[in-house]
Amino acid sequence: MRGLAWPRLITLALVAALTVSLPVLAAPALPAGLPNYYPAGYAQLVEASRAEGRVNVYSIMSASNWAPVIREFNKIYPWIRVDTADLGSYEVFERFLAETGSGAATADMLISNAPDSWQDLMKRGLVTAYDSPEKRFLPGWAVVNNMIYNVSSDPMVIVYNKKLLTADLRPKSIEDLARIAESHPRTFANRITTYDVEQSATGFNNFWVFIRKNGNAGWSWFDAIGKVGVRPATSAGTMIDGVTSGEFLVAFFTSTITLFPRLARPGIKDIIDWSYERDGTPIVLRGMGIPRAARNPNSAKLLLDFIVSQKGQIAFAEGGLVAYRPDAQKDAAHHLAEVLADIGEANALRYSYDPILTDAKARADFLARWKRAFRR
Amino acid sequence: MAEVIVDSLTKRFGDVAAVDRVSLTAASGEMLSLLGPSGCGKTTTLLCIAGLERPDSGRILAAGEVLTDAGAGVFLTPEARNLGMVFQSYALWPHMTVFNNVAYGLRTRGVREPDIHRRVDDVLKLVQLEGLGVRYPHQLSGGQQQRVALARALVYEPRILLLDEPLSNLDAKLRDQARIWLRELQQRLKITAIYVTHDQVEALSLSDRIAVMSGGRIAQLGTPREIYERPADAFVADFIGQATFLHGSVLSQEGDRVRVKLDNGAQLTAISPQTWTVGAPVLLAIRPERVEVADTQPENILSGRVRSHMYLGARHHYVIDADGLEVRLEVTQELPDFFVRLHVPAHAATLLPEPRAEPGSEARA
Amino acid sequence: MLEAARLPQVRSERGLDVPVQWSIGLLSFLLVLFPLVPIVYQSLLSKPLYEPDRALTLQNFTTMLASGEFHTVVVNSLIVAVSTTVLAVALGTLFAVFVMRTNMPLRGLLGALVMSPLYISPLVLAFAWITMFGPQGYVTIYLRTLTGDDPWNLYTLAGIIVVSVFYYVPYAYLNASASLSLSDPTVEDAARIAGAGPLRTLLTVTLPLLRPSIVYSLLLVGIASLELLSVPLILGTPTGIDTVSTLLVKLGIQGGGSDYGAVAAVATMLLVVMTVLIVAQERLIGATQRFVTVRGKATAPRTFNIGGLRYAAFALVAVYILLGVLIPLGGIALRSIVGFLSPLANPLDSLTAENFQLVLQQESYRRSIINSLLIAGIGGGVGIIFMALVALATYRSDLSWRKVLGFVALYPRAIPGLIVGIGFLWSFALVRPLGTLRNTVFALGAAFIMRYIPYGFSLISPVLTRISPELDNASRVAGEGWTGTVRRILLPLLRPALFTGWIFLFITFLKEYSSALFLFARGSEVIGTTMLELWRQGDMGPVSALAVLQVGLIVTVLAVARWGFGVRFYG
Repeated sequence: MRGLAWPRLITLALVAALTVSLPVLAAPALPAGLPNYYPAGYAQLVEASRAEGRVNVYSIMSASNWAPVIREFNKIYPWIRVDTADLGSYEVFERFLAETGSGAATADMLISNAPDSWQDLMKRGLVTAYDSPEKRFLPGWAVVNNMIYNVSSDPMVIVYNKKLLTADLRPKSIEDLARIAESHPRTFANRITTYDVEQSATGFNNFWVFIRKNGNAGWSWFDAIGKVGVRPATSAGTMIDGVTSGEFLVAFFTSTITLFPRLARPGIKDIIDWSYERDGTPIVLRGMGIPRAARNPNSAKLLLDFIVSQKGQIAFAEGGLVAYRPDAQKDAAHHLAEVLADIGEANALRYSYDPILTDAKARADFLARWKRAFRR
Repeated sequence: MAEVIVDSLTKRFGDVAAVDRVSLTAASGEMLSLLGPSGCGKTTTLLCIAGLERPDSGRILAAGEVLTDAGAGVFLTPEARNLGMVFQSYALWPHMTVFNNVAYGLRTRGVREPDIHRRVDDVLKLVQLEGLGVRYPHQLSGGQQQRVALARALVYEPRILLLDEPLSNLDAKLRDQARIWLRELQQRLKITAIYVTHDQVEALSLSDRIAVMSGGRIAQLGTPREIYERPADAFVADFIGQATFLHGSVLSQEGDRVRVKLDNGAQLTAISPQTWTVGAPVLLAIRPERVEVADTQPENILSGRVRSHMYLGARHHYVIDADGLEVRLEVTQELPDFFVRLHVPAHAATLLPEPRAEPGSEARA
Repeated sequence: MLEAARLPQVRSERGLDVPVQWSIGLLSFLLVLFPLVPIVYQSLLSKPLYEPDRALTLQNFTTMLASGEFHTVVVNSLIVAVSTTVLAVALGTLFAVFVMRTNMPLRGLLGALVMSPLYISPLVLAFAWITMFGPQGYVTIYLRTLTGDDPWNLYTLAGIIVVSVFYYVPYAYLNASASLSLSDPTVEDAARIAGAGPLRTLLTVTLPLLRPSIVYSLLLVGIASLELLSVPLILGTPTGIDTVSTLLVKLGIQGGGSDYGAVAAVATMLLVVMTVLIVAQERLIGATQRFVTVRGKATAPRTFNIGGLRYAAFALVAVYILLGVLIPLGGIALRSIVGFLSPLANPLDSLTAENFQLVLQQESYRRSIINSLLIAGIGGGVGIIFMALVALATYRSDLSWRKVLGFVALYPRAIPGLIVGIGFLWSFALVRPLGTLRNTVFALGAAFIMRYIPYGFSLISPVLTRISPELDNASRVAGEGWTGTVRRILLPLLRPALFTGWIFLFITFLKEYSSALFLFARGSEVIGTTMLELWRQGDMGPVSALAVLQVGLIVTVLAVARWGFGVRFYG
C-alpha cells in the first residue's frame, strides 16, 4: 500500500467507473446497414440478440435458396448463426408441435405455405405477434394478424421438356395441357406430373385456388388430363429432374424456387423450358412467424425484419424466390410485378387464409373430387 | 499361526455335490496336498479356500480369521483374503512384463514404487529369475513362467499359498527338478501351502500330509507313508501307486497276523492292526514292487504262469495268472521261467474290508 | 526378503464392485427399456403422451386392426420379407458354392464384390438404384428412348424386392461361405471316391450339408427384411406402396398430422412379432450362435471342376454384380459430379462441383457429416467399451442376474431402428430432466449404441471366452477387486477385439439412419437424415454427393484398418 500514491488510485477508480458506466451513458448504436427509419428502441433488440447468437428456422426452402439471405443478413449481424432446415409444408408444424409438446428446444421461426396449419397455430395462441418496422412497406395481404409475414410470392408454373416436345405440344395453360394431352394420349400417358394433393399442402392449395377461379371448367380440364394418366410427385425437385431426365414431359403447378436455381446449371436450359399457366397461375404465399416457444426470439425478429426488408427481398430473389415488396422490384432477380405484368392480376391466384381451408368436410370433399379426376 | 481349517465344506453344482462335507486342517508351515482323480472335488475345495467359489455350507478359517462361514453368511471376496495362488495355466497376464506381473499384488496394496522395486527384485532372485523382469511372459520358457507365477504369489507375503497343479504343464524332466525346488522353497519360507494335484508322485514327494479325495469326500488324510503303506480303502490303494486286489475271506487272526483264504483256495497271511471277524469278506491289496520272486520261502506263496510282460526300461512289469487270480508284479530283472513262484511278504499285503455296496467296484478294475 | 516390514493391507476398492456391476447391468436394462416403455404406454393412450387429458384405451389397436390400409401394409410387408428372404438366401448360398467350391473364373474378386453391399448403407444402395433404374434413371430412360416404352417400373413391390435382395444376398453368402470353409472337405472326397461327379457331389453332399446355414440365413434375412425401411421408403412411397416401416414414417412424420396412438399401436405390434421371431431364432439355433461373423478358421479350399458350367456361373455372378452393384454405384458417383443426369444430354457437359460444395459448405449439411463422424468415432468408442462391460458383467461377474443381463443385451435385435428412434424421442418427452439431451448428438449416440448392443456384445463375447478365467482369478487373489481386474487385466487383454469392434461400430454408425429418423433435430442431423431430407425435396445431386462421401469414408476406414492394423471383417 505504501508505494501506491493517492493520485494514481483516484485515476484508477475513475477509469473503472467510466468503463462500467459506458454502456449506460452512450446509447448503443444501430449496426451499419440498417435502414434509417428503424426506431431507436431497435438497438435493444440487436443487443439482446448478441446473447442468443443463433436462430433456428424450420422452412420449406432449400439451402441454396437461403444462401444469399444468410450471407447478407450476416453482414449486418455477424454474430447470429442462421440455421435452416428444409422440410415439408406440414412437417414444419409437426416437428414444431412435437417438440413444444415434449418440452424440447424447437425452432425460433417457422416458414410454411400451409394456410390451414397457420390458422390452427394462431388459434392455439402459439405464434408471437410482432409489429415489424418494415410493415408499412408491405402490401396489406402480406401480413396476417401481425403474426404471419409473407416471405415471397412464387408462381407455380408449367415446366416441359423441349427436346421431347415439339413447339405445338408445349402447353401454355391448363386448358392447353388438357387439349394437347387428350389429343396425344399415348405420348402423354403417365408422363405428366404435379404435386400430390394427398401428400402435400402445396398441391392442395394450388388446385384449391385454381378451382376457385375456374370452377367446373377447371375440373373438366383436370378430368381430361387425369384420364391420360398423371404421376403425382411430392416435391418440385423430383418433378423438374423428371422432366429433365425425360421421365416426364410436363410438370404443372411446379415451384419456381426449385426451377430457377436449376435453370442456372450448365446445359439444362437446352432441355427444359417453362411457362405460366395463362388461365390461372397459383402464387404461393410463404408465411413466416415466430413461435411463442422460440428460445432466440430477438434474433428471430431481426431475421424476420431482414427478410421483408428491401435488401432481404433482393437477396431471396437471388436465391430463386420471387420478391413481392414493391420497392425491391428494380434490383430483385424475380419479382411479383413481372409475373402480374405477364399474366394479369386476374390470373395470379394468391394462396388464401380463407377459414374454409380449415374445414375438414370441405377439404375431404375437395380431395375426393381431385382423386376422381386423377384416378387415385 | 497360519493354519487353515476347512470345516464341513459343501459345494454343489446343480444336484451334484462337488465337495461333500469336507473337513481338514493344514497346520502352520505345513504342505498339504489334495490328491485325487479329476472330478474328485480337490480343485473346488481349493477354489473355495481362495474365495473363487462360494460354498453352500461349511466354514473356512485361515490364521484364525473366518474367510467363509456359509451359515453366518460370511464370505470374503478373494481379494480380501490375502492369499497367494499359483494357477495351473500360471495365468500370467500376457500384456504385462514379468516385473509388472509380479508387482501387481504390491500395487493393489498401495505399496510405494521404490519398495515395489526392491521387493520384486528380491522375489525374482528368490525364484532365480534375476534380470528377467523386463521380459514378457511369452518370451519365457515354461519353467520360468511357472516361477514367475510363484514369485507373483509370494511377493506380498501371503500367509497361505495355494497351488493348483502348478507343475502339470511342465515336461517330465523339468517337473522333477521343479518339485524338489518348490519343496525346498516352501520349507525355507515356512509358508502354509495347500497343493492340488492328480499326480501321486508329486503328492508323495512334496507333501507333509496328503488328503486323498474321491467323489467330493476325503478318502484318507495322512502322511505320504501312511497313505502309501496303509491305504484306508481300495480306492486309495489303487490310486496311490499300483495294487493287485485279491478277494478272499478271513480264516483266523493271531495278534496282528491275519490268515486269509483267497477265492482260488490259496492262503496268505497279512499284517493288520485291526481286529477282523472270521469269515468276513476282505480284499488284499498288494503292491507289485513288494512281491518277490522266490523259490525258497515256505509260506505266503502264489504260483502261476506269466500272462503278459511289459518292458519298462529299468523294470519289468508282469501279470501273473495264479490259478485264476491276476497278480501284478514289478521286478528289476527279467523272469527266466514261464512258471513262477511268488512270495507275498506279510507286511506287503494290506487288508481291506470288501466294499460290499458295489460288487465289482472300481477297486477291482 | 520376508523379514521386511509387514505390508499394508489390500486397498479397499472392493466396495465398488457390486455398485459397478449393478450400474452396468441397470444401465443396459434401462437403455433397452427406455424406448420400449413409452411406445407400449402410448399405444394404450387416447392422446399424445405429453398431453394432460389422455386416457387409457385399446382403441388405437382396434382402429388399426380394422383399417383396410393396415391390412394392405401388412400384406405388402409379408410379400417383401418372404420374397426377399427366399431369393436372397438362394442366390447368396449359390454364389458361395460357386466361389468356395468351383473353379469359376475370377472367383476371389467376384466373391468380394458380392459382399460389397455390406459396407454401404441400404439407403445409398436404394439411391444408387433409382439413379440408374428408377423411373427417371439413366438406364430406364435410355431404354425407353430405344423402345418407346418403360422397360420396367422400379417403384413397385417387385422393384422393392429386387433391390432388397441385392442388399441381403451378402448376409446369406457370408453364412454359407463360413459354413463351407469350416466344413470337413473329406465328406466330399468320400462322395467322389464313391463315384459321384463334381456336380453330383455338390448337389448331393455340399448343398445338403449347408442346410443349417441356410435355415439360419432364412431367419436372419427374414427378420431383417421385415423391418427394412430404406428401400420401401425410397421406392415405395412415391407410388403409395407402404410397408409397416414406411407406414410408421408416414403416420409419424409425413401426412396430415402425427397420430401418436396409431404410430405406437403399429410399433407395438411390430415389436411383438419381432420378439416372437427372435425368440424362435434363439430356440432354433441356440443362443450362442453368433450373428456377426468375424472370421472362421479356414481349411484348405477344395474346388470342383464343373467344366463348361463354370462360364455360366461366371456370367450369372458377373451380371448380378454389374446390375446390382457396379452400375448403380457408378451411376450415383457420376450423378454427384454433374448438374443433371439424362440420356438426353452428355453428362460431361454439366460437370460441376456444386453438389459437393453444397453439402460441404451449407451449415446443416456439413454439420450432418461432422455429427456422423462424431457419433461414429466417439459414440462407437464409448459404445464398444460399454458393450464390452456388459459382456464382462454377463460372463465374468458375480452379478446374481447375469443370465437376465445376457438376454437383455441380445434383445435389441428385436427392436427395429425406427422404433428405437420413436421410443427415445417419446422417452425424452416423458422424462423431462433428460429433455435437454433431446436435440443433441448424445441422444442419437445413445440410441445407436442401444440398437447395436447385441452386435458389439456378440463380437466381444467369443473373444472373452477365449481369455482364461484364471487370469482374472489370479488378479482377484492378488488383491484386486472385480472393477480393478476389469480395468487392469480384462480390458487391456480385450484391446484388439475392442479395436475391431470400434471399427465395426464406426462403419455401422456412419451408415445408420433409421433410428435417427425420428430422433434427429436441428443440430443433430446425420448423413442419413440429410440424404432423406434432400431426397424428399428431390435434390438428387447433393444426395449423391453425400452418398459418395459416406461410401468414401467407410472404404477409407476399412482400408486403414486392414492395411494399417490388420483388422479384417467378413473373411
